[in-house]
Amino acid sequence: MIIEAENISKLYGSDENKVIALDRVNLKIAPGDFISIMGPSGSGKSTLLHILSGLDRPTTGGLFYDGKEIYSFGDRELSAFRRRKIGFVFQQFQLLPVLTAKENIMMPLLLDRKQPEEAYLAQLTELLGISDRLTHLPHELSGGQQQRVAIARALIAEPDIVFADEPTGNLDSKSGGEVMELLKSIRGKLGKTLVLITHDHRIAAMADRQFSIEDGILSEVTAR
Amino acid sequence: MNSYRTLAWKELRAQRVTSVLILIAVILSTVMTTVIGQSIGILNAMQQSQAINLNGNRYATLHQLTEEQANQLSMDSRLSYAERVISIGRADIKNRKISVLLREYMGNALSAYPSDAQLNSGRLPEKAGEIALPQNVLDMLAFQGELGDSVSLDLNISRLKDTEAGYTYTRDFVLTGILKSNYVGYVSGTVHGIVGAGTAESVLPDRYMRYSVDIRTAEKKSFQSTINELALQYGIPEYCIQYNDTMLSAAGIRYQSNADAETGTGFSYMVLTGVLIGTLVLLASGLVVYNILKIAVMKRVREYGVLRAMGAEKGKLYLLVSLQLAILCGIGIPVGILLGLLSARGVTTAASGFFNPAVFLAGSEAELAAMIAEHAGSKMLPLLASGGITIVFALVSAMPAAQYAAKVSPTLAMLGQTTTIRRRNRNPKRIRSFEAFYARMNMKRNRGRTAVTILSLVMSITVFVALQSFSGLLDASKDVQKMHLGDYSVTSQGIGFSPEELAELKNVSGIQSVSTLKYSLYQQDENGKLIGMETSIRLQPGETMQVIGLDEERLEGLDASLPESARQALRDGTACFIQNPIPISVDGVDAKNTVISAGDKIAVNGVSLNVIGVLDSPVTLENEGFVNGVQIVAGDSVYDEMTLKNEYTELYPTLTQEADRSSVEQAIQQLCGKNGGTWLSYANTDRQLMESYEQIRLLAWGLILFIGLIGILNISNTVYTNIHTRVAEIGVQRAIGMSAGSLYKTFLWEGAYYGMIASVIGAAAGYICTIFVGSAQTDTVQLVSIPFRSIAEAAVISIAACLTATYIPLKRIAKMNIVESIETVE
Repeated sequence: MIIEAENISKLYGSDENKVIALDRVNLKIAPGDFISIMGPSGSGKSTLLHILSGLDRPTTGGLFYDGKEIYSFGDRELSAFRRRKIGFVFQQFQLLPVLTAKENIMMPLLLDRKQPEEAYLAQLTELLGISDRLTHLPHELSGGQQQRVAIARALIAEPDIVFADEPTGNLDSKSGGEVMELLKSIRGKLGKTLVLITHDHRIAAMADRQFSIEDGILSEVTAR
Repeated sequence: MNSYRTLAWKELRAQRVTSVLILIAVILSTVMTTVIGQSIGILNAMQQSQAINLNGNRYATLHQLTEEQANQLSMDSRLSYAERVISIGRADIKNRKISVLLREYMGNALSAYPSDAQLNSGRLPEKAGEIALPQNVLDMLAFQGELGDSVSLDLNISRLKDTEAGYTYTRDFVLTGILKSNYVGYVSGTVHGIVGAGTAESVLPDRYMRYSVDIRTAEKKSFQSTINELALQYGIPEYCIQYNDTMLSAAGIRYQSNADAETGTGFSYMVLTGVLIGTLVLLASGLVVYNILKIAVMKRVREYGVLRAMGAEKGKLYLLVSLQLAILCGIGIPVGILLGLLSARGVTTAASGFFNPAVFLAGSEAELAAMIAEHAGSKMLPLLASGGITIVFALVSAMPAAQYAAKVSPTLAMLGQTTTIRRRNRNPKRIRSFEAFYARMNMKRNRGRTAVTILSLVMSITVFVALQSFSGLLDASKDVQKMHLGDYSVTSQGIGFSPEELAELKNVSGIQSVSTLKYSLYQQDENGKLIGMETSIRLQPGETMQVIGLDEERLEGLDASLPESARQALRDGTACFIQNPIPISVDGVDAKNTVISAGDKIAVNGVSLNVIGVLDSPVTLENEGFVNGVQIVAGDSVYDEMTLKNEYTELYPTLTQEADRSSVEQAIQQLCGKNGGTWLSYANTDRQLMESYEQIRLLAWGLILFIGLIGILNISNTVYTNIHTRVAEIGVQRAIGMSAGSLYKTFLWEGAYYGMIASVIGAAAGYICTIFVGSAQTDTVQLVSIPFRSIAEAAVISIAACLTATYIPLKRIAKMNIVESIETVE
């Protein structure tokens, strides 16, 4: 799935309070790309990720998935698009506290009235090392384990692309390293597109394509 | 900042939204508890008003008194009301099973009978020989004249338990007033007319110048002992004391039943209803305050942590919370009481103004207003309870949070409280609907809040189901209504109706069923031998023998406690009921009368019957039971064997709901035309009784509405809080791909589950309450029929209300920005 961002800008406030979070960003993501976006706090990297993943509308510009402008979709269509085509990994894990690890993982499928393919679920949880944690509630898991569950949830619906918002930001360095290795390895095995934002140079360096963002202006650090 | 009082006030002002929410909770809780307290008082007044309307504002009437006795009673300090009435005679209305009883009301006596004194036109009689009659009576008499014209009536007056036939005379009266039709008397076959002062003296011989004194005792509690003392003091025999059952039970006065001389319950269902409903409602209202305050104070735990970190002692923290509550309660409770009083008045006004005022104590609206004021305004207890309960629940709900903040370390308090979720079943079966599943899981998230929400709803439903059952008990008209069978009374004393004519009547479109009665009277000849009857019963001189044949259903209904074997015997025609003759006295000496007991065997014209029960009251309108004698009440077919007759004397057709009354009446008229029968419609009677009950029903519904509001308020608050405390989670769900519709469904499922669980528990609790009240009524614990309709209504209404209450705060979700939601710190 090819993702194209064309002249995307995002403005907050008005008049003297106006803040330009993103300034005419252009970006093309090819299938299988591993992209990192790095920048200091308030640079606009999270805003860009939210717009790219269909969570927040740009003020101007367009976002196309295989040539289709996704912000022209209605709520139902856009929601379905997100749960079928996009996976998310958040910094704060964002697991639903009343659901077990397995139920959290299955959630995107359940919303589509689908049941998980047991073999795929087993493969995924095996890869992430959480097979024996599936009946645990989030508060019974460590931070690293919670993030693995979140990764499994992002991948269960076999999306084309995974967006990760500082996935190691809330983990210690050991767990953070493990999570990144897992993300890399799964991307390789499952052939997914991965877009992550970070302010960690080492993590950013793992990506095939590295971008930096400052004052809302995006620039690619590595040439393809 | 000078003191904690200043801080408390500043905090309240700084957190306006929370403060306003708590204030609303305090006000609403007080409003509701006040309304309930007031409404119960008003409901009681309504019930008494209904009783007055039906049977007069009197606790009892003492009959057949001399002038001296009546005068002494009028001045007796134990009585708050004692007014004299003289009956001057009864006039039978031709071709109707109705007679008009003319009464002269002395002094203020007519004020006790507001429904008998409503004028359509003209004026009430003032002088001897003047008369006022109800419009329906004039219609039945086929009176064509106008006010001022003469009305001639054939009258008969007799004394109670008299051996003489009575005094019969004809008298012309001047019609001064036409009263509004009153149909209540149809059930007993007697309607009332009013004659002017001095009429009795001018028409009655001394022997029949006997006074009836309507009384109310000064003390309700000592009513029965006062009656007993009066009877003893003035030498009033028991049969001359007539208790006004309708009024006594409405007023909750204990008394001795006139009919069987056993202690009547005198039980005030209103008191029980009041206590039960009041408790439930106070608790439900308290839970609303508890829920809202608990959430509000929990939100402040962080601030309390900061205060602790700054050096505030634990005691100061309690003081701060208490002061804030005191301020809010100080504003909220008086406002709530005021609004509650106004709301209760509004409900009453609606209740008394909604229906035809002429039916409900028209002409004495001032009396109704006074009664309502007496029952509503002066009841300080519900008002104090309203305020008290709000304060108690406010403290109970706020203190644990303050205690938590005071006990834990300031650092932990500043982090806020986190709830640990517990789940037993972690391997659910296949999840078909994620929304429903997630809703169920969410309810386990904060079990306390879920329980409180459901509990408040359960209480509302319990009250709904129970109140529907109770309101039936509150209906004073039921006692009167059950005195008539069917929708019409069709009688033929002479020829009777043949079985073929009955079959024809049953086939008339619109007639659902016909209850039947056959009646034969046998008198003794000069030698004391019964004419036309051979029997094993030895009658006393002057007594008659009456054989009555009833249809199966009515016959078995005479004693609901009969065992199946006895019922079968009745059906087989081998058993009967007996009503013994009334003991009479001749010149002060008690005459001997025939007494047949249950278990005796009797033979009538060769038919042997076992007596399975003795009845207290006559089953036939025929002579209204005044013809003294032994009544044998048996089945329809065995009657034919005993009497060698098969004609029916009384028919009581019951109509289908969609029946065309005019065509049915035409058929009845034709039937009566053939064999000299007469008929009477109870339609107006039932309508009048129903309308008087509607007032109570409407008020009960007002009460239910308020109680429902408590439940809805609690659900709305819970859902609002759930949304408010799950903003980030909602954002994540939306990010993962949950549509707004799906999210709506989750919350709506939560609301529906609240409704469903509460309906089941509430229905069971309501049923138990119904059994409880039923048991109090009968003094025995017995299962009553399950009020399916009320339960179904409660379930549907509560689920619909839950969905509505859930839907309102859900609007917030639609406006939520996904990114902002995810970033919300909870």
